Amino acid sequence: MKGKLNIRHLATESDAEAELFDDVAQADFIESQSLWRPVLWAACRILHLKGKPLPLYKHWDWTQKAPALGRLDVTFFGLRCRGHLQGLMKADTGSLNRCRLDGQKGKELVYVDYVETAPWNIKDYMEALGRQALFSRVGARLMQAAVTLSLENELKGRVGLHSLPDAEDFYRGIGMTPTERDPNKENLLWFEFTPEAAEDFMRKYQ
Amino acid sequence: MTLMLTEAEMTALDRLCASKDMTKAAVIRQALRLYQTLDERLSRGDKVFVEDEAKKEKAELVVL
Repeated sequence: MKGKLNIRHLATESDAEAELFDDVAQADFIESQSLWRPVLWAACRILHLKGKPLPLYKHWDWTQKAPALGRLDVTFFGLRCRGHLQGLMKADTGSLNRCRLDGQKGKELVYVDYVETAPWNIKDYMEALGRQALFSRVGARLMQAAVTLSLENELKGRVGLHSLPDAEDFYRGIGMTPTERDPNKENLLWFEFTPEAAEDFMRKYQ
Repeated sequence: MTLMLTEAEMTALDRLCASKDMTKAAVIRQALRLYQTLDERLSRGDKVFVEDEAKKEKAELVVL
């Protein structure tokens, strides 16, 4: 899955052309570590000084996921704009996670294991650093890729994930349904797309 | 490619297609993903188990 799409450049309030790709390589993981982490940790330092909560994913290291590259049941997506990596996602099509919502309980889905947007696209972190966030819609575009992957695998757009607490509003906002907290997964809240909600989401974010 | 299946294999495939509401191609692709995952784990020396949580029974999965 490769293609051009638009994300939103916040400073100029205009569209910016980005490239979605699924041939993610170790070089992309290294880029996330070398360019994203210093910005994220600089923001963490300020947030900590101000007594604000730190992002729960600050310890993530995408290079540790490299052994999964090339596996048929795992698809990595990247989104690049203006030469820089803006987001990464790991989506599983062979996950043991199944749908939990009534009406589709037990059915297979695409499980979004990890999704991350570059820290310079996150308003709270950039405000902490006295800067404006660069792009919006990166997370939404990656979630659209997950829905497309689901459709390509005849899973009807069904997608599920465990959300970190500070991302719950985002997943609600794109139309995913929260179900229950999962005691087997750090008590994170489980979110799910029904086929209908996935279709609405794809239409709204064209 | 053309895939020749026995009658029993085709019956099993038809049943999976019906229960999962998927085409034969999608079911076979899904099976290949699962087989690759299991094969990689077993090649590393890992063991794969299936567990009946209610009965507290665990059985090792053997893949040829």
